[in-house]
Amino acid sequence: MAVLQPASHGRAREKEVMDMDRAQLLELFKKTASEIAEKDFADVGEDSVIASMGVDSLAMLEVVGEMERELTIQVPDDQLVGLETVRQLLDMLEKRITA
Amino acid sequence: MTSTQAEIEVSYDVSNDFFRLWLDEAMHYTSGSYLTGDETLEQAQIQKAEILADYAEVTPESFVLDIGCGWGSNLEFLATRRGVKRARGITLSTEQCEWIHQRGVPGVEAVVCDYAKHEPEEPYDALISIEMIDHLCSPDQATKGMAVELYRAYFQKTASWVKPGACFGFQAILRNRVPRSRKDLEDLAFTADVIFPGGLNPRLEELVQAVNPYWEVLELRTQRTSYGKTTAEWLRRMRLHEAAIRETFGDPIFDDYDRYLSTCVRAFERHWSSDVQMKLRKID
Repeated sequence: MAVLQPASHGRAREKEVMDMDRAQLLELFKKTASEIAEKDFADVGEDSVIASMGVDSLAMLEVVGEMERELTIQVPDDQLVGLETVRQLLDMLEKRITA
Repeated sequence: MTSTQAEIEVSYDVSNDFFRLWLDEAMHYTSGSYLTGDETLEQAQIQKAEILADYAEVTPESFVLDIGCGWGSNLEFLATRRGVKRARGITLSTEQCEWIHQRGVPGVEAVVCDYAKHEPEEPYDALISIEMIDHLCSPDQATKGMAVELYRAYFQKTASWVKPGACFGFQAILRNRVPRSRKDLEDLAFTADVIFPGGLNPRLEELVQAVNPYWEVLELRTQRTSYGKTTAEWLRRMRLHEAAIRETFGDPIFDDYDRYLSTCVRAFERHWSSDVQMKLRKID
């Protein structure tokens, strides 16, 4: 659910998000997942399999929710189905950012 | 049904006296239809029954089936307010069926029966079903991609019971957006596992897909805020009887239903869930 923010702040944040590169997106994912799962994901890369990270499905939904807030996007639930790797998750988030 | 008889009895057979404390007098255990927002729960429930009877094009001469009839509130409405002479309900709950027989409303009958095994002796003129379809597909089956096929089998079966051109007043709880917090997800899982085991609310798009090629959708209205008001009123009424419920039925029953109804209120407020009414006409 989007956090309500002043319009100017919202527009500024949207520009920051649009300017994010792939490496920054990966770092945001690792930071968010680390905070929620309370684990160190320094070695996680785009080819990492989400299921092998020791993050359960509830925690992964929390990660997605936190990234939605950070990126000021909303991900349709059907696009969360079948995500196996970090790369697939980042691809999906990028599509939502540019949609 | 996917929900077994034992699972249905977990959901509905706690005690009729328990549900009487917080449902409306007629025991509608489904969303009412608040059209202005100022109605009482009782008025909203009657409005819901009116909408679905209109959708089903019910007349006094109609032979009507209510699939998943609960405590017979809709059957009683049809007989007493619409003058229907033959209103039949099917349910998997023995307590609910006995309740209906004890009410003894002329023209109303109820049968404990799995819808999939129901074979009417003559075709019905009209069908009504109110939030029974959430017992047809389990979470596991949905994960395996079976939801639309299970719902389609239901719509195929129901279409085989009616006369050409018959109408179906259909209502279903919907699942919409999955919450993103662990507590909310755990509360929803609790509702699914403890209060309604074996059940899962369909998504609107699954229903629209599944009615084809058996039924045509003539009208469709959603009423998310109506269900929010309905569950909030159930919760308010239940809390008024907290001491009596704890004493008679035990602390776990009060605590479980308080958590369940509180979760429902949030679910409708935050778009995790909604409710839909559809007017369907059989495609001949």
